[in-house]
Amino acid sequence: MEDLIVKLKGEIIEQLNFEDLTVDDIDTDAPLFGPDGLGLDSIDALELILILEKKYQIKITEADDGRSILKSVRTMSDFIMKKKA
Amino acid sequence: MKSVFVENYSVLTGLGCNVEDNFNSILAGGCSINTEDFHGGKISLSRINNDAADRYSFKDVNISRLEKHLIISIEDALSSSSVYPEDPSTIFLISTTKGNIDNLDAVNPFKTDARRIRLHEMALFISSYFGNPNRPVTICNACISGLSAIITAKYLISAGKFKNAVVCGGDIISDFVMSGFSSLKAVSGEPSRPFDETRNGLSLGEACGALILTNENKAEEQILVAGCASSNDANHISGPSRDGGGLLLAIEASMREASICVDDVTSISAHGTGTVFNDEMESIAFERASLSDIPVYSLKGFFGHTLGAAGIIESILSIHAMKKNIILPSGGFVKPGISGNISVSAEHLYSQNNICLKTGSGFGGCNAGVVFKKNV
Amino acid sequence: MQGWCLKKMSDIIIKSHCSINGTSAVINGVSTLFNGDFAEGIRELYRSNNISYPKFFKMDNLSKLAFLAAELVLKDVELPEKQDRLKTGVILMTSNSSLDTDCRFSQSINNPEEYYPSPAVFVYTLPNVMAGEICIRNSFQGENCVYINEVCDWEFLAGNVRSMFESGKLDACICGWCDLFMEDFNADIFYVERCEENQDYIPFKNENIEKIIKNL
Repeated sequence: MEDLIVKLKGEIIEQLNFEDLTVDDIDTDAPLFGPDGLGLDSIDALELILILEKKYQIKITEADDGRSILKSVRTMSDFIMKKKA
Repeated sequence: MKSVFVENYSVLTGLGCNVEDNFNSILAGGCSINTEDFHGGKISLSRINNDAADRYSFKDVNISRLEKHLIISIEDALSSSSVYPEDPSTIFLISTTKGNIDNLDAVNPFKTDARRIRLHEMALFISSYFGNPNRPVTICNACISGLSAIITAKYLISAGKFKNAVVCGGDIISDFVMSGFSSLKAVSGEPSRPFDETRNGLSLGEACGALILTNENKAEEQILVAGCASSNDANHISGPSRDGGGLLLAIEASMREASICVDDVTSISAHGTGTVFNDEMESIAFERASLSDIPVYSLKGFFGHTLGAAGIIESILSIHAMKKNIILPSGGFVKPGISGNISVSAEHLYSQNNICLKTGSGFGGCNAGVVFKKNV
Repeated sequence: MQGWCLKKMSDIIIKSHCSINGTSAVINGVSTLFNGDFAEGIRELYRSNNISYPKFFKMDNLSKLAFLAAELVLKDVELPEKQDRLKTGVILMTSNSSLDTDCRFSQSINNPEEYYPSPAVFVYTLPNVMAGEICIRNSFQGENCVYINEVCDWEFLAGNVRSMFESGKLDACICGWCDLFMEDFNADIFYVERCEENQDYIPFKNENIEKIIKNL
């Protein structure tokens, strides 16, 4: 699980072009969106969905609650674990 | 400063090869957006006009789809115009967002001269085809390209640099553009419904238009390009600003230049893409501009969002409506789903239509407003 | 900048100029080396000028070039308060449009086995987004346009910008040339504004534009 979280953080940094961030800089439970976390915007949200599709072959459907899934690195990795199980 | 008049025009969309066919189709509720095999309104020359398909087979020339469409609509506009394209006092302006981008597609039977992937090369090809001696002006300003081209033409004519301008705009539907808008989850699975409460995205369409402008007042009640302006939201590169502030600036500046007030405006041809955010932002901007009671419509429900052609063809159809004293309907609209208080109707209206405000917004946060005014 | 002409009230003046290419970055005649390829050189310019703007790293190369050129041209300029920048415009010309990013986006969709179109790349497949980035950074809300031409048509560009000042649409403007395709790039940017005070200045006229560009 921890491996997945580290891997996911690395992918977020790369895909979203966070040049000055390292994996250690990202708080696993901090909100990804909004002023308290990484401050991602709507395009970043779409890029996160692309990470799930490209790296984990998981598609977020209309039935999934996108907001909850993408809330934090933790919720994203929980979702991946659930889908892979 | 010279006044700038509309002299002639033509439009080519999935609905028809000329303005009359497009206009009548719109009044009859036509829609060229085919979402079964393709989420967009593609131009099929043989489907809309067999004559055009025969006349413009271009067997001898290596020409792209977009170039073919541009030539068709420019020729149609020039055919009943007294403006000579070879005249050095005539300037060509070409508006396009992606030009011959299908040249980058993996599979493309229309692969044109590789140089003409560059927009200015394509523009030069078009203006040279018509024998124009001047280097054309090429505008690439996202979805307001067409309006930016009209704004630039107005400057060139009113400053006395040229007497006439052939202002053309066009874009084609390509895998490139389709993939891009789909990746933004901006495309609707059905024909777009601007300002409607059930709207869920845009439809892509392809079109070309040619608008001929001149400094000569040749006819009674000729339409003037009376005022224009562009602006930027300075907010986000793809999402419109929530308070409509940028668009409001463009609207007010264009009306100021046209020396008109809100009560003078008889119709508004909006950008109205059918996305939740754009239409919401526009409605707020119109209300803030005190334009709540003025009939507003979007034409994108009839032929889709035609990108570089949009500003040109939607202006042309609105100008045509002004001449006929008709206010066009808003395609795909049933019930309002925006928080701005505006007056949208799915029905056309027979009413004096002397002053039309055309607006547009696009990626990069840009906005534009152009005021067309009947010279009475 | 030293005044070259007679002083006049309410003239349109060149407040600052910057150019960036593969060899050097020049701000108002003062030159620094552009080191390495585009990616290295632009990153070094960003850091050595103490710019802190994380969104910079999300931009495509064309926007990075335009953004940096604007940062440098405005480096020693005192801008008015944000609410007074409603009539500051961005009018640019380019040759390759967004072709550099277009090729990148195209690569992400050409293989049906690896079909992953990136929205973050797609939004940069329009050249006017570089103008948008400058506007967002500086709260500029005035006239906006991007023109495409093989080389910079300064007469057209300056004439167009001057007419926007004359009609009252602009009080200031970032204008000029910004072009990039792979490792071929250059930017030549002016910041022009209305001159209200009696001071030394350079009028925004074709002969002065030519003098400044050719000095490099």
